Amino acid sequence: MTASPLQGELDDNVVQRRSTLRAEEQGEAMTTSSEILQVEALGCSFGGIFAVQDASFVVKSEGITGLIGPNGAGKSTIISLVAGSTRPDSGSVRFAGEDITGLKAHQIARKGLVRTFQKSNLFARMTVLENLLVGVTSMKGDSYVDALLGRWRWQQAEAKLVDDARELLVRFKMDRYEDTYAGELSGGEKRMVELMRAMMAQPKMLILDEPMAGVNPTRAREIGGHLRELADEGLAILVVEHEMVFIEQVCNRVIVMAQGSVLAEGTMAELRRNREVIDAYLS
Amino acid sequence: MSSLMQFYVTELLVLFSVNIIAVWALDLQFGVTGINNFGFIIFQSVGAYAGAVFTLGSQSANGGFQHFIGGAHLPYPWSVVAAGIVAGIVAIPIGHMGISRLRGDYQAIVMLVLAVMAVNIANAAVNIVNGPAGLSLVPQPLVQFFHSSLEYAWVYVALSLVWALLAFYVVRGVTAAPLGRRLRAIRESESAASALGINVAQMKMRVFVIGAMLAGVSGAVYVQYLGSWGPTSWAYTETFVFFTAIVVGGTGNMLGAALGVALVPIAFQELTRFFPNVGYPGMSASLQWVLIGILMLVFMWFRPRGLIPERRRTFRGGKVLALRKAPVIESTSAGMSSDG
Repeated sequence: MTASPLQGELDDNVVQRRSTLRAEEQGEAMTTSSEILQVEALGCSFGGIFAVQDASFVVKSEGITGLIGPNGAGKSTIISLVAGSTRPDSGSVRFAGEDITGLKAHQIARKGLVRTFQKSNLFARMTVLENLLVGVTSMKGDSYVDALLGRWRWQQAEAKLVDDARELLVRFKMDRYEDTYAGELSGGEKRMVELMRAMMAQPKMLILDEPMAGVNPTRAREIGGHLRELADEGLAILVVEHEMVFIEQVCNRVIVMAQGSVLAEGTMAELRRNREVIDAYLS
Repeated sequence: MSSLMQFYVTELLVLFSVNIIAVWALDLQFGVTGINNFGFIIFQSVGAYAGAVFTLGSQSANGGFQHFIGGAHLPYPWSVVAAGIVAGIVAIPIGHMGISRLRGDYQAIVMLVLAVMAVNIANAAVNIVNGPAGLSLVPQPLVQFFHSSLEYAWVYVALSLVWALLAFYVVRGVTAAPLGRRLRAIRESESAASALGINVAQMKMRVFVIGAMLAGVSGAVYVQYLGSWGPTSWAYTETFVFFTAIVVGGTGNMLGAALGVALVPIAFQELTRFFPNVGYPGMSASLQWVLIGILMLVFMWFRPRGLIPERRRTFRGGKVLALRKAPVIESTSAGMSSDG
């Protein structure tokens, strides 16, 4: 693996980090933490070629789970299948104890499973604050009846949400961009807004597709820190990422995919000892 | 003002009201939600036919020279309301075909094709709305209460302005509410909107139907003023006059759309009347279409957001005061499509 800009920090922290991971792992084994997402034997083919085949894994309701694998392993397809952008040909997805297989993307989002995209996907000609407000899944004033009855029907509800959004902006140190059009932000800032927008939906679980793509190292560390914080507050997070250092630093568990199926699951330390994983990916 | 001048002014004002209802409706679909409804004229026309049929009475009236279905004598505001409802109902199957499942260019193509088909159907199926001859002798609403035709002309201006106000209330209500924010989100990115729990297909469908209803109202108001409506009144190209008005005035901005209406269907089309007649008869009318096309192209190239662009929506008040705001950068060169 090539040296990454994050390497410096890793060298200092890696030993400590790994030991805490082990501690967490033992803790989990004792409390038998619940599984928020269960993917079973998921399959999907495009024109006879399998993008995902017989993929099964679980995501625990605590901590950050990494999803790694070489290019073409089917990571993005798995996310599309789980989040409802693509319909699976076979298999099942259960989220928070409920079968969500084959539901549409907006239905799944409303159940509390919110995803972001590999290519940043903000509402470019809307301000940062507006982007955040769209994240709210259901509010007064989003129906025609409310809209036509006039401002008094939704004004108070909106003012409260604006306050919530501003608190989030302050927390992510993005409050100075409140009125900036999202299309005018830098790559890293866009990622932050995507994360905040997803948080406005008050999700039970976040799926992030390469949240560090096109982000400078300082910002990447910042995003990593925010993700850790959110996970500590009880949000389940599944992250697809190429940056191994990031995976090592922030993920509690890691799922390795290769050629459309799941190769292995475990902590990074365990995976480093796994012959198959080393051959397929880590070598 | 001479009475001739007054007639001319009232005609322009009615034309303005009719067009502004249509343009606000189209802007709600195109400028706000991003639906490329290139078949918008279908719904204005359906409204016009319905507005005529609902006032003409039965087929046998006026000597029975016109053939149409569903004749009735609805009292005044209801003939217009019913026309809007009919246009909305027609929009449901068309929306399912052309809007809710398709995006961008595909919507445009399907809607354009449907607009061409619709004119041909109205022409060929003579029993629906009297075929190529169209409907005529449409009675003017409430005309029996007024003595002079000039007086009535001003009354009709007032009536059509009331309908325009209604359209303003509807479109303004939707765009100002959180609902409007969701519609703009769909315009910017359908995939991101659905990932945030927005039922994109359903939202597009509803906007399509609401827009069609307003288009129907504009058609009914127009036909009850003109007194006749036929296939020659609504070539598919008419939709582009509305689009040009929106692009020139400013997409997603109601004031911009109003300015666009004043400039394109009113000023632009009226001014060309005073051009000297050059070439063969009808050449200046054709040139008018060329000029509208050029106007649209020029604006797309040099001022894609129009004369009065969509306004940046900011929020004042609230308990967390954002004091460290970044300087606001205005960019007008960003092109029609978003870059996200």
